[in-house]
Amino acid sequence: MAESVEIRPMTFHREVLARIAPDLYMQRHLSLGLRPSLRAFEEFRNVEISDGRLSCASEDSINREGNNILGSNVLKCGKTMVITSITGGVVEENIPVKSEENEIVESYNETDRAANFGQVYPVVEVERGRVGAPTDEEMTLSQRIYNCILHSGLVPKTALDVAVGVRSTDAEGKTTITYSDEQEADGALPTTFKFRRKWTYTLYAKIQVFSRDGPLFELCWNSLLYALANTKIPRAFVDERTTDLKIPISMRGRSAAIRETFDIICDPTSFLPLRLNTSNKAFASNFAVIDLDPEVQLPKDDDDMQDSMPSSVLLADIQGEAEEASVTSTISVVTDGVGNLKHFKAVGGSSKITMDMMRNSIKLAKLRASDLDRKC
Amino acid sequence: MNITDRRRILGPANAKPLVFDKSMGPAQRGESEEVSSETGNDAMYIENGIVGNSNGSSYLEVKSRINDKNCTLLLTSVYGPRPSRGAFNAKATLSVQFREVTLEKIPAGQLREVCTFLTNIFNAVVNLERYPKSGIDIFLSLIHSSSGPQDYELESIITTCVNGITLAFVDAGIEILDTVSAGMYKKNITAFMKNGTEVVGFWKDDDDNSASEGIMDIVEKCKEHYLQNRKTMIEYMIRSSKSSN
Repeated sequence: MAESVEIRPMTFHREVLARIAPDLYMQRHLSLGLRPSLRAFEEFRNVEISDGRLSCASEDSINREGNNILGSNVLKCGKTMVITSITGGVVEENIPVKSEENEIVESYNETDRAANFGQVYPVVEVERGRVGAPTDEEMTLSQRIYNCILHSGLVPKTALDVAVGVRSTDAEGKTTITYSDEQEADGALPTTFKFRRKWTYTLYAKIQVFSRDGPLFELCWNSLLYALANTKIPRAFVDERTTDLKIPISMRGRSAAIRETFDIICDPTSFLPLRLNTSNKAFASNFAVIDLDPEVQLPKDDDDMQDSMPSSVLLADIQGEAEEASVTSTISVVTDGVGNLKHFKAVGGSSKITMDMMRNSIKLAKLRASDLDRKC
Repeated sequence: MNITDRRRILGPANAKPLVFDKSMGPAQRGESEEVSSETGNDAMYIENGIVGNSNGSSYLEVKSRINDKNCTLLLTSVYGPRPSRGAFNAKATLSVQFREVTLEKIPAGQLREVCTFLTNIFNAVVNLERYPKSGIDIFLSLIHSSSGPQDYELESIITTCVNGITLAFVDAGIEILDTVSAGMYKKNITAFMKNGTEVVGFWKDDDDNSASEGIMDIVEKCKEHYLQNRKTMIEYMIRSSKSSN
């Protein structure tokens, strides 16, 4: 019965091996001192950015009419492409009746730090050839970006306030728009209208990802940051006739006054750049820690190298299916060039993240951030 | 029932969209609407294989020959043929999804019409018998479209879609009977194949300008545009196959 079984080595094409045994594929590459993407361990991919000329506020916009994109960015990193577009809305804030008489004072709130910062509402969509509800990844990404933008303090709340102007029409039918902050410079007309209401802009970011090829938070974050950096918010005004209207009404014997809601109209010709807290501008980079498996190392030609191999290595900028699948310990750092950390996330998987590696990753992230900052 | 979307971060509920003052838009100041001669060609930029995880993709940038403010940027990706679950099908099933990536201007009803129109065209064009028990999904991502004073111009978008899908199919290596392309004339679109001898799709919108013209004349006019488009596409394909060899 005993038939001899002949065992023949099998060879696979490298794409096939990467699919069926990503960890082996990865380890074999690492033992050569390379990664599957043929980058060195601590090498980042290049990032190409452009504003895509999508924004209606940009100088050379491809379209200015019927377009309310306020800021945009197209980021390409490897094969992955991220398109971010920023749009806006206006919210009328309710101010309590008592404080209406006084000046609305902006006081720095010490206890609730986040209350001083503006928010951006991101929606991330990753194209993957399926339809349906957002995936876990998309939801987590959106939430994480939202939290990080808010807590990084990048957008000061005051930057989103609408300085409302008034459009008045004189007897000849000529219309002029006066903004309260511009009048001071002219020294002309006193402010005739004082608004007893407050409006703020809300910013929405739509982030579309094509060719997903590795973790996305860092790419989306960087793209959003570039987009916010070139965001311009329009000047807005109300028509003279509608300034502070009170309409008395009586309903079931009770009389009251309702105030008309204002129509805030945006000026399509005049934009102001969004004021960002440049000291809080930070860029994201990711890292992975992976143990080297001595079993699957390629045989060395000369034996003097044998003892110099470390037990685990730090990889920068995770890319590709093989890397993502075989890596369980990751570090994500959001920092600026001088080391103001805005976000630090370390996931401890099967490999141990040492103190040295954390230090090293922060150092690399700082270098990366100052490099990315120069592209703005 | 509470039907708020809790899967996306939507922002404050009382936010109103920005309203730009139309009366003082750039159009008012630059009065000269450039409706130049209709003899020129569309400016077209084509790039295949941008989307890495799809089976085939194409990126098209089209600047209209008639109105230089009309610009369409479209990314098409094709996924498939991939196995479909359920009952056995002797033919592949085709689906078309359309999405606006940046601004959302086109109402959902019109989008559905466009998708049905495109599905019908490509059901006739793709050799579906070759791919039994599988599904082919087409994803159209409109990055930008503009048309001067109008918010969007569906006709030029559809024309770009037809051309983009054909290029993506070629990139994916999915068998099609011929390089289908569409031509536009005013608000009419005709999709042709086999050198303009067969019509695979015809779209007509309400239009006073071409109401008096006979349908055959319209189809002829579309054919001229079709031949131009097809020539550009085939030139691109030949050039890219030469450079890859």
